[in-house]
Amino acid sequence: MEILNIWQKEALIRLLEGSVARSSQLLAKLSHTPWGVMSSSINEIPPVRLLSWFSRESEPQLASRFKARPGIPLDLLVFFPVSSAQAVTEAFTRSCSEKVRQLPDLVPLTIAEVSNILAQGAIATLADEVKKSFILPAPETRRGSKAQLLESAFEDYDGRTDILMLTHVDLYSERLSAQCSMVIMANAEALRRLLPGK
Amino acid sequence: MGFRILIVEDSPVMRLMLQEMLEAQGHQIVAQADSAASALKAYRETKPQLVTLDISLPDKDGFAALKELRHSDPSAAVVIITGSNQEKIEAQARSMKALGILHKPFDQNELAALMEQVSAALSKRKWKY
Repeated sequence: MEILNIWQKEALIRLLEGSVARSSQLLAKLSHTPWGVMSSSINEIPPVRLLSWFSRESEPQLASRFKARPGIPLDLLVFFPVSSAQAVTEAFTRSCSEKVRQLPDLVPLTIAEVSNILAQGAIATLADEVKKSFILPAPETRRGSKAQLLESAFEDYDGRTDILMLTHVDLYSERLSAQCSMVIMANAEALRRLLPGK
Repeated sequence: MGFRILIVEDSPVMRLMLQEMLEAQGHQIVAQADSAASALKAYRETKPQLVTLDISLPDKDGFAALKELRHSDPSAAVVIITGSNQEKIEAQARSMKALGILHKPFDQNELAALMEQVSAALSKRKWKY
């Protein structure tokens, strides 16, 4: 069963493509080096299927989750492999003083802030389209595999009946040898109510 | 002209980066706060000339904090520093008379341009009164 009609799907694809472009621009500005989009996909998918895809990736990640609040029908997760998190942190803080670079827990703190900037950029296109303001809460930043981190995000959804609209983007910096993935998920029914029908 | 500034920002990395950037531009950081509640307390205690305010705070959003700040001091000078560039958020910042908005990520030049804008706005206030 398709929940979004064709105009809503087209609107969503256009918005998410804008989000992806914005995210790669923001990463470039943050890290002072270009980032490209390795892959991006937008699908209607049951949570269990995505979980099975991600269970094949075992590399430890630092991930920040921005939980949907009432009024914000989205969950955003931003993943950095641990090695990439280090590289991005060094790039982000390279022009800072020794005092900044010596901050305890610098890598998770920096990744939380970098992820916040990316998530804000990603949600802005949707917010402007539906003429609302979405202020994201502070993220939860955790370490684990993609499947583990995604599984905890799915606790708020009914794995049997909820259909999610899911965007998965992989970004890459050749100069930093770093990767970043973003998963934007929304309950399709909630999106259907939010997006203009035609 | 250097301002006495209160930084309101929940990210420790951003707080320190912003402090260093502002001090390098000749400003004095009189206090830092990581929540709306601590921001209001710090404002009352230090009476800064300017507040830099992030709108994503852990206890309430920055606009709610700004409203309380204005209730306490209607002339409070505030700039918004945010990762968000949504149209409605920008419009709300303007309607709440923020002196400027700076989008993250930003560099020294962008911050300096914002501070010049603030300086011009505060000079006009002096002339008005």
